[in-house]
Amino acid sequence: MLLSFSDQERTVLHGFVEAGIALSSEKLGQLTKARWDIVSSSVEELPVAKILATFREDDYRACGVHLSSRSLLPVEVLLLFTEAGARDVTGAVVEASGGVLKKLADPQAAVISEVGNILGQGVLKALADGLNISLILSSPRLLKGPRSEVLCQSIGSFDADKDAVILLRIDMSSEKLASGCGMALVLDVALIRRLLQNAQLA
Amino acid sequence: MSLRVLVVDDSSMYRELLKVMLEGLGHTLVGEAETGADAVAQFASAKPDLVTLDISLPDMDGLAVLREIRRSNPRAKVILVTGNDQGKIVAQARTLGALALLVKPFHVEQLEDALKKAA
Repeated sequence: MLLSFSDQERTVLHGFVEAGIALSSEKLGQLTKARWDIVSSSVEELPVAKILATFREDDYRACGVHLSSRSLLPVEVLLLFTEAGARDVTGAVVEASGGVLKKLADPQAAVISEVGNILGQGVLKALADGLNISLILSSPRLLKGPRSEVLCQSIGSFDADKDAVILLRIDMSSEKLASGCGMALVLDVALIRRLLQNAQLA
Repeated sequence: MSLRVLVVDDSSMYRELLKVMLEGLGHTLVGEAETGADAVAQFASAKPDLVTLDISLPDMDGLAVLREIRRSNPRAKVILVTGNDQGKIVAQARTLGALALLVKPFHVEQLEDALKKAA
C-alpha cells in the first residue's frame, strides 16, 4: 500500500515545488530573452500506477525530457511538452541566440533537452536546498512519441507500492507565445519523509 | 589575455553557445568533450589554460572530473558551467578548487566576468 504524506509534509514539499517553478520560469525567461508569467500551476500527488493507468490509452504526441538522480535521494524527473509547445520553445530559444543554434545538426533535440534540463534543475534545486542535500542529475534523455509510451519509458518501472509521483502542470505565457509543460517527479515517499524529518521540516 | 579553453558539456547547445561566446571574447577553443573520460584525456593532451566544466555528464559527474583534473594538475583553472547551483554542490565545487560557478542560462557578460578570474 502506498505511503502518503501528512498534511504538514505535503505543505512543505509543495512549497519547495512552487519555489522551483518560479525559479524555472525565470530561467526560461533568460533563455528566450522574454519575460514569462505563470498563468496557472497545479501540484498533485499520485501513485505511479494511477498515472500510468490514466494515460494508458493516450496517444497524444509528446516530447519528453527524462532526468534521473541516483544519489542519496533517488529521483526521476520527466518534463513533458506537446510537439507544438516543443517547437515553439525551440524557436524562441534559437531566435534569442541570434541564430547561432540554427547550425546544430538537430536544433530541436538539442534545445528542448537543455530547456528540460534547466527547468528540471530549478525544481530540484529548491527541493535539494530545502532538504539540505545534493542531487546530481543524469544527462537529459529525449523521448518522443505518444504520451503513454513516453511515460512508460521514463517512470513505468517504478514501484507502485513505494513511489509517489508529484505531478506538476505549468502554463506560462510571454509576450511572444504561450506554452505549457508538465513535470512529473517520482520520489520514494518513505525516504522523503525521513529527509523532511532530518531537516526538521515535518 | 587570450586563453586556450577546453569546453566540457554533454549539451551540444551549450558547446555551440560557449564556442561562439569564447571566440567572440578573443579566446581559443582547443577542444570540446561530451563525457568526463574524454574531458580528462583532452585536458592531459591539450593542456588548456582553462576548462569550462558541466556537472551533469553521461559517464561521471563534473565534480569527479574536477577532482581528477586538479589531481593531475593542482594549478588547473576550472570554471563550472551548470544548471545545478544547489547550495551543497556550490560549496563542494569551491572546496575542490573551482574558480567560479556560472549558472545556466547566462549572458556573455557573466562569462566574461568568470573568465577574468582565470586570466
